[in-house]
Parts: sequence; C-alpha cells; structure tokens
Amino acid sequence: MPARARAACFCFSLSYGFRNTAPCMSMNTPASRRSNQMKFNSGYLNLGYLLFFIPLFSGCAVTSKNVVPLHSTIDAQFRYQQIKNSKNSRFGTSSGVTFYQRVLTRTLGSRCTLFPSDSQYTQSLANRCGHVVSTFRAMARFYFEPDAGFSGAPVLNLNGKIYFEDQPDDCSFF
Amino acid sequence: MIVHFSRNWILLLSLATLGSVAPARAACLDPGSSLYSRARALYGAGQYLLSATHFSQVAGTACDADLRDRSLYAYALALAELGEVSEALRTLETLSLPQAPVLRSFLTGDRSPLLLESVRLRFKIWDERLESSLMEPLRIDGMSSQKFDEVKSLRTRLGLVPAKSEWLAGGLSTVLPGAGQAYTRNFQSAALSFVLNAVFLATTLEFARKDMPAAAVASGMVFSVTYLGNILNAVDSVKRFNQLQRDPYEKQLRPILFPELVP
Repeated sequence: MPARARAACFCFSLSYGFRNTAPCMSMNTPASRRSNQMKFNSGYLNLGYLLFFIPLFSGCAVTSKNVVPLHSTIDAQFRYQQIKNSKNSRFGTSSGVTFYQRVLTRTLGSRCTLFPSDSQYTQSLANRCGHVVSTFRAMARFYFEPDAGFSGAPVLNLNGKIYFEDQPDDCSFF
Repeated sequence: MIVHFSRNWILLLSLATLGSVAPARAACLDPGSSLYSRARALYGAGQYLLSATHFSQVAGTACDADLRDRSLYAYALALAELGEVSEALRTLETLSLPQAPVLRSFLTGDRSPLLLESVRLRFKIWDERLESSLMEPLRIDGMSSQKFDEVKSLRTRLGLVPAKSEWLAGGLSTVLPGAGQAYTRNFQSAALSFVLNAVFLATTLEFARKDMPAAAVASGMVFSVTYLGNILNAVDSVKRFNQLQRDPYEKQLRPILFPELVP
C-alpha cells in the first residue's frame, strides 16, 4: 500500500475512532507494528481527540457536475469591494480572523472553493453586521461549501481555478 | 489700417475655432458605432462592469443626442445589475427617455409614477408572479398575442414551481442536524452538518462525563455555533433551492414583460 494511502487510512481511522483498522493495513506490515497500531487506535483514543482532526475535512468542497456557465469574475470582485467598502462598516474587524489571514493561512494554505474566501467573508460580515452574526453566518457558509455547485451558486474562473460566488451581503439571521 | 487689422483678427479667430472644433467632430461617435455594439455584446455576456465603462465612453463621445441618451440609459442598466442602484437612479434623473420611468420603478419598487396603464399591468404580472393562485393575466395593450400566450404559459409554470418551506427545513435541522439540508437535497452539506454536530455534542458530553467543566463549556460553545449555523444553513438552502427552481422561468419572463430593460 502506498505511503500516502496508508497515511490517509490512518487519519481516517483516527478521526472516526474506528476500532478495527485492519483493512487499512498492508499485508506486509510487520505483525508487531500492526498490533501496536491497532492498540493505539482502539485503546487510547477518546472522543476528545476527534477535535484535532476536524481541519482534515475543512474546505474539502466537492465540485458538483451540475454547474452553470461561468459568470463575470470582474463583476464578482467589484461587488465584493462594494460590500467591503460599504458605509455601514461600524463594528471593526475580528482580530481572530485577522490572525488567521496573516499567519495561519500562509502556513496552511487555502483550499476554499468559494469567492470571497471564508475568512474574507467573515471579516466583511463582522465589520458590517457584528461579531455574533458573522460567527453564525460563517458557520452556515461552511456547511454550504460542499453543495455550492448543486445549489446553483454563480461559477467564477479566478486565476484558472473554479470558484463559487457567495457574497457577504446578508446581515439577517433568518 | 484698422479695418485690415480687424479683418486679420477675424480670420485668425475663425481658423482657430475651426481648428479646435474639427478634431472634436472627427472623434465623435456615429449612431452605428462599433463601440456601442461592443458594449451591448458585453452586456449580453453578463460583463456588466466592462459594459458600463464602454457605455459611459460612448455617452461621453457621442455626437448624436439619441445615442448619448441610449448609452446613458444602458449605463444605468449595467449599474443596476451591479447593485449600484443609487448611481443608476442618479443617471436616470438626467434622462427623458420614455423607458427611464420603467427602470426607475423596477429599481425602487415604487409603482406610482407609472402613468401608462399597460406598464402598470406588466408590473402587476411581475409582482404577482410568485403567488400560487393561477389568475389569468389581463390583456396588455401593445403586446402581440404570441407574446401574451408566452407570458401566460410562463406565469402558469412559475405558479406550479414546487416551493419548499423555510420553516420546515429549519425545524428539521433543529431536531436532527443535517435533516433540513437533506430536505433540499443538499446531501453533502447534510452529512457535514450531521458529523460536525455529532462530534461536538459527543465531545461536550464526554468532557462533562469526565468531570472536566471548563473543557465541556468550551466545547459546548463550539457546539452552539455549529448547531445554530446548521439551522441557518438549512433555511438558506431552502431560499437558494426555491430561487433555483424559479430562475429559468423568471429569466424568460422578464425580457418579454419589460423589453425596456434590455439595452
């Protein structure tokens, strides 16, 4: 089994807390190592560990085949700038999101398939609608990401990559 | 001597005036300008920002007053598509074209300045397009019978579009995270929502069971965000679903009812 596949299997088994990971193991894995790995997977993991593996699934948006023709990227960027520079900005930016944008995203990279990115969306909402609304709206958007194509979100081609447009224009809760 | 001097001056002034006007007239755009055609093509392709700049250029350089007005109107249309409603309305104020009140009414939602009964009827059909009662639209003056049949057919189909309930989706996701998303057939969102909520709920319970109150509270706060976010997403997904169902009919109905809203 290739190293990458073995690593993926191992992460999968860890994150879901599987008790038996035998199908993930190669037949030529030494018996002692196999038993150690099984012991590690079964004996010493509790649900608290699952928290650390959530980032594995973040941003894993699956692009649906049900996509519409490409929309104008220039217009999408213009609309975003228009919302971002709106006169209603009164709450200030979120320092947590700023830290993520300046430090973490440079290390981790961005795998977001939505335009603007999740952090830009949250920052813009935090600025205009407040931090509480932005937190819940950002979470709702995170759930939206995998089915963005299926939901008919406008498709953009930005720097050769496909994105789905979802502007931070809605401050309402429901 | 004085007469000769003044004649020279008049000659010089005339030459200077001609010299300054001639290049300006040469740079003038004629009514069949290719720049205007290019702007219309961009508008048709959904490139509203680019088309707005082109229309603005045409309006600034057109010799013909009609072309200038048409370009300004198209510029207002492109701005409206971009969400720049205030700028579009400001541009419309300078125009005296018969279609300007229609666009103004479309943007502001105020139907009172519409004097023509036929335009009011068209707005009535448009405003009531989402009502499920299948009322026969009234006959509109100046519309061909073929177009009118199309309007009737689209109106009927719009009324029959299956609309999902936001309340039901929100309620379903409140009871079981992800159920509201599954109701709108967003199964990947449903799975993600279910897994995240299950993980954070289980983690909170696990911390509480192991007598770790601080960790349980922290995890519970994260769970509250994932839980409320899941309900919000379910409601949003219904809005998107309903709009997606209506979109094809609305996109056909609008240009038939309002040919004025096309440059």
